[in-house]
Amino acid sequence: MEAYQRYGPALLRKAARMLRNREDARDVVHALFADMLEERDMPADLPYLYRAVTNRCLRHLRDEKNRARLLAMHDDALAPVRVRLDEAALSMDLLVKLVSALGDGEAEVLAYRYLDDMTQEEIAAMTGLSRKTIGRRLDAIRDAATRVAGEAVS
Amino acid sequence: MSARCVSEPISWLRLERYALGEAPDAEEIGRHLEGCEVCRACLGRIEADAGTELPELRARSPRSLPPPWRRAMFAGGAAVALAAAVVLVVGRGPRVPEDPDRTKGAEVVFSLVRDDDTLFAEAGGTFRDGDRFKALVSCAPGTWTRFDLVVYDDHGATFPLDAPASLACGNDVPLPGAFLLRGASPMRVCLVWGEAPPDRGDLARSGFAPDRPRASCKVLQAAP
Repeated sequence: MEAYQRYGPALLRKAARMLRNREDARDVVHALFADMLEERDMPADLPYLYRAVTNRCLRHLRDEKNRARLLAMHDDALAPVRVRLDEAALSMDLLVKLVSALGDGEAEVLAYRYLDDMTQEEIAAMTGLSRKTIGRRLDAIRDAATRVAGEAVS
Repeated sequence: MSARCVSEPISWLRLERYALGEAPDAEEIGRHLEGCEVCRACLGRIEADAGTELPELRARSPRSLPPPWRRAMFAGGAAVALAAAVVLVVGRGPRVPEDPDRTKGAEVVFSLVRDDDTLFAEAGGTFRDGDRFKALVSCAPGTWTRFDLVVYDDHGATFPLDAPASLACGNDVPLPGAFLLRGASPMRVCLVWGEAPPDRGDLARSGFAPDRPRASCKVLQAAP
């Protein structure tokens, strides 16, 4: 499948950034393209696939079995935020707690903003939501992060 | 001291598209990269990873699509009432093309929910002047599609949504916004979808061709 060869590596990097685990990332990306083989009308441009992988990764993180296993690989709780918001910006511990604490829409925005470095404009374009809604969701994310971080140090 | 991006970091998606030669704003990204060591390093990581081997892609055994939802949902009308209303003013007209519910391909099903919680899952129904509706879409979870809603009457097409919506598929996924039906003539409410946003100009100009794929319609008659 051409899209798999062309976009698979980019999606694999994206999934690995979210899951912090290359094998899990491979599973997620492979499952996406396996579904595409069955559903021939599925869009095959990178932004679309990026969003599909984001949501599959979020589901993966929400799954309790996966969460426990992934956390066992990472004991770097609450690592400090770096200058560039890439894979170390959120520790695995904080990430899974936030994903659990947030609704689907907020968790998706979290991934785009803090794992993919997207601007609010890019997130709005990706999701079809207004800037105002994105702003509200970012506020909710910050509130959740404060709560989760507070629980972690108390 | 760690290096800082010179301004707003280029997102990973933009960098990936740039590396693939698909970035629509490649010049802007290129200029940024010239002056930004941090983002340039990120692009370098993408390029260094270019030899990534992918596992062999194998199709799974066929699976069934999610069943059409017939269950009543929207436990409270509040969900609809709170949704942003997009008002449709549609004039009275002599005729709406008579065409029952039609879905090309079974991958997408849609229903309309009136704000009294009445669910219109079948091909037709009735409406009263000023009734407010919301569209719910069911499609294969894990996929993404762009949807638009079109209301046809004899005057042509009207588009209740602000813009075509890109949705993560699932069961009973609400399209953003709600809409009012006004008038006493039959309305044909159609969901159209595709990989790219449905072309509204094309839909409005050509009308709803009987053999259009990726579309489903419901004809609502004005209540007596």
